[in-house]
Amino acid sequence: MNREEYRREVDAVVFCPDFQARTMARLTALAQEKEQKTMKNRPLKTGLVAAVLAAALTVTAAAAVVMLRPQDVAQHAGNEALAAAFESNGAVTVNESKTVGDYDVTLMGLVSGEGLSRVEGLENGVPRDKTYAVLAYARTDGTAIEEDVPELTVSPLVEGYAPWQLNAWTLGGGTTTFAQDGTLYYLFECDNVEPFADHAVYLAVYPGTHTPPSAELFSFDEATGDITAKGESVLFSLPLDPAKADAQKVQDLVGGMFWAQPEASQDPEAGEPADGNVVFFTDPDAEDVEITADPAFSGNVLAERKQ
Amino acid sequence: MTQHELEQDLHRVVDTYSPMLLRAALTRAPSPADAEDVVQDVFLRLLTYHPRFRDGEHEKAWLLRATLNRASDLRRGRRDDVPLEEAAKAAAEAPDYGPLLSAVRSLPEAYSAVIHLYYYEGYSIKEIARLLALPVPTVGTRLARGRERLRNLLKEEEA
Repeated sequence: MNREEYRREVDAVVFCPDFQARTMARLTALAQEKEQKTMKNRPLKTGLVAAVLAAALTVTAAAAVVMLRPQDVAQHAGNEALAAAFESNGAVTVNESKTVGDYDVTLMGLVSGEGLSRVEGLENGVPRDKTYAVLAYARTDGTAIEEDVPELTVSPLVEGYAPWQLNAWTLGGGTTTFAQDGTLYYLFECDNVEPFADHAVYLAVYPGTHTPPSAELFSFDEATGDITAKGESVLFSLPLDPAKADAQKVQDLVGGMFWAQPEASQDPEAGEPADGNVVFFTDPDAEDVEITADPAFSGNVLAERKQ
Repeated sequence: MTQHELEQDLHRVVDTYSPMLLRAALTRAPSPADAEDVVQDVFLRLLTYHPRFRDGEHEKAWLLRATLNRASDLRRGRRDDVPLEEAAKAAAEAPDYGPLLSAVRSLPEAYSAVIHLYYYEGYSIKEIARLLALPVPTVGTRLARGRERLRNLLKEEEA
């Protein structure tokens, strides 16, 4: 391929000269809207703090730290539709805790469905059928988590499917995190996993920042489809309704993926024939980054760098 | 962060990354106008979701992957929803890209992204692996297979 010729052809494509100006205008308008919303929300925050303080004074010492509920977490992330969904009958409360490395991780609850994604309202947004899970991380040594994102990765895994092939990366995973009162709240989203409900569906939490599941972290029995966690990895079983299993949707999701187990150091695609019609899933929504969701936009929003 | 500081930062991001993101989106989006919509959506998501990046490379990688994914969503949405006649009309009205760019656009997405980043942006295989969060061998495989497919496509076109 001729690099220079390719560059010439790409450079010949004409984009709107005012693209950047238009984009800045939209961004500025959105930022102002957020700022106004934040101003309106301030009295509510004060109310929440008061409620937390009152609870801390009247209940046992063990309950002194009042955790947010999944709907509060969704609201904090600015997703009203999701907050409402977490308050609906369709939401599942789990509240199960496991220790992963230096963290106690609690899977608080989950909810699935369409119309819950914040980006659906955007221009050209397509409807998204998503599962959302809220997790809370606390340090096992009792010290508060301030802003840092723990070096843990969250991914759905499904019995019968190799973890390295069906996971957060292939199911459009994304995260929003924020710390409050020493606890880190983690809002995880991915394609709706309910169609897999006739299998055991897990939410895996394991060491590593944005690390795809590998044979070093999980065992996969190709004969039975069983998945087991290795080392510090843990699996939360998701209590899904088997009646929601949908083989057609599963087929749509997994498409032409192949299920050979890769060697640890091998290119996972090396087994694919060069002319194979393999469906490649792109990186999950590009949210394999630490995302804070402070609607107040306090602090250095875009330039904030974590070294 | 004050409103003014926020706007300055938004300016920096939009000015720095728009050209690269528009080009990347073009490898998947149906048209240049769609590529613009995709990139604008990505900037809006950046502001809405408030990501915190480790460094500039992390920021660039996030924006690039978000752009490629949004462009894929858009392409899939169009493919699924548009009636056949409209699709044919849209194809007829599509911009007349050069043969190389047309061939890259027709590649499977996994290949086109790697080919574009390597040949246009000049990134090394290792850099592309970091940007796309892929293992280095995978990028190498995609580059090799993408080239092979391109060769075949261009040969077919010549024939």
